[in-house]
Amino acid sequence: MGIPASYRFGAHHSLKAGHLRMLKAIVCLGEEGGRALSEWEEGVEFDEIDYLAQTLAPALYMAAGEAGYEGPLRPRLKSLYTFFFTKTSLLLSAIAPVLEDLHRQGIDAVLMKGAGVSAALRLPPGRRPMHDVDLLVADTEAGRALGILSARGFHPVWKTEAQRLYRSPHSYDCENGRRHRIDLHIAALYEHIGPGFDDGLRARAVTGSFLGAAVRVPCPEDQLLLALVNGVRAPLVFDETYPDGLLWILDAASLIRGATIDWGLFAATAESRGVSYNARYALRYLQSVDGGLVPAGVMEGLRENLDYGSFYVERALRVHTRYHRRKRAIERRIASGGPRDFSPRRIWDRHRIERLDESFASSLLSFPGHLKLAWGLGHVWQLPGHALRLLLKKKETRKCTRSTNRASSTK
Amino acid sequence: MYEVNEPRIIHEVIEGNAVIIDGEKGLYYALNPVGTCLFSAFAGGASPDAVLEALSREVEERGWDAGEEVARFLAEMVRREILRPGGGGNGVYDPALLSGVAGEAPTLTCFEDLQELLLIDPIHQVDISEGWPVERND
Repeated sequence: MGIPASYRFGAHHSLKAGHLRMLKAIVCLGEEGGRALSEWEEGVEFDEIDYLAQTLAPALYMAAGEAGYEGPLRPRLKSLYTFFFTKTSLLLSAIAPVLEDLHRQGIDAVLMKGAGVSAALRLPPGRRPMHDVDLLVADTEAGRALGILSARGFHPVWKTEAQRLYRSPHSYDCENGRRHRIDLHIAALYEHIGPGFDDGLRARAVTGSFLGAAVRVPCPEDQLLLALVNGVRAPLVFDETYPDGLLWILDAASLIRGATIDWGLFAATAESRGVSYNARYALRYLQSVDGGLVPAGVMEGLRENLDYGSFYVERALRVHTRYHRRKRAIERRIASGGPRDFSPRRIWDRHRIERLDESFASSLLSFPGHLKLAWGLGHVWQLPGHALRLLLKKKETRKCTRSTNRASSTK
Repeated sequence: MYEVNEPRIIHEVIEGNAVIIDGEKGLYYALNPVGTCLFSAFAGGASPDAVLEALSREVEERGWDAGEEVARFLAEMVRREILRPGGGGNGVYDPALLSGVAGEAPTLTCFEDLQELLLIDPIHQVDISEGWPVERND
């Protein structure tokens, strides 16, 4: 079985120039930050910036304001800041009663990732766009916590436990009617799931502030490790060519600048969780943004390659081979047919690719409904008739082609 | 004394204009600069009398009646459940906040459907000088 290229140490996907300039303008202090801001302003086509850059815009707006920037892009950055402030505020406002209920019921919930960093460093809601809020509870409390979430309108998004285990074995992704999401974790990391694995994190948790209320957040070292490991999951586990978000770089930089990091504790925790290589891989991104963020000697204390015997790699490889190999094969077939191919075979391929985590039988059962939609029919019972018509049409076309060919060959 | 109805209400001052989000009702409020000063004063724990006293020390060139406008503005904030009576605010009221308050009378603009507002693309569909959520005319 081949090991994906990104598992081999040394493979590292550099940040795109536009993203790097934005990150430098936000993170780097003094002249370097100012220079990065000017370069970004000169080189950017604002109407064309991608979503990852859009999520960095609020922090850039704040950093630019602090640097006294009054350039032509300021109103456009402000527009994005106000937009994300509103969106994130709505999310946080929906989460606040859930946190209160969990606290009232005596469930120890630790706020993690973006919301955790914002709570720990008391960042304004606009600075850090969020798509969901991550909460960690003990796996023994998950049932009770899910009940509380459900009472507040947050229900799991995965229909079956098998789907959840396949997609997100360490958490329950829940959503309410307004599409606000809570990721209820029973393990802090996808890479490290097991009984008691998060006891240390829980014991070291400190107090932060969430919309004026006290909440528990991981200590800075744990927060930093979570930001790094979650940040590079796409390239490390799913063999993507780029991180699927860049906000973790800002989170990590803010933690390093805003809190005192015990780097010894950080390295020891990373090693004990089997994510030492992941942390090293992620820290290289931070170094590319600002060389001064990671003190000398830290990288040397982290692994240079993956611990291949770890549970994480074993599962990652399993997921990689089973899921991605099948996905790629189907994608190749779909590409060969083209987007306008509405033959049952291509429709089946598109249907199957969306349900790769389901069993074959389950996909088969839901296929008639999908086919009905793809063919624009009103009822499932119209399918056989439509299929027959397609078949006859196809035969007719073949017959015509054959007779044309015969005629041209006779000539 | 009044306090902000947290955590339902989330607010921030962006370039001198307060933006207030009512998470429960899904409303977006924008305050003008004078409204922002008054809101910040009340949120900081100032009493209506203290606000009026601070305003009366200023030159009377506003073109609006301070007593009347402050009472109207405060009533509106309470009616909309942005501020609630009781509590001491966040305790950061500084009378200097109200010094030199001039310009138009305090206003509060309400955008009613936040879910609809969030569909406005903050890059391509907004008035560039006003920014999101003000849509471009064309």
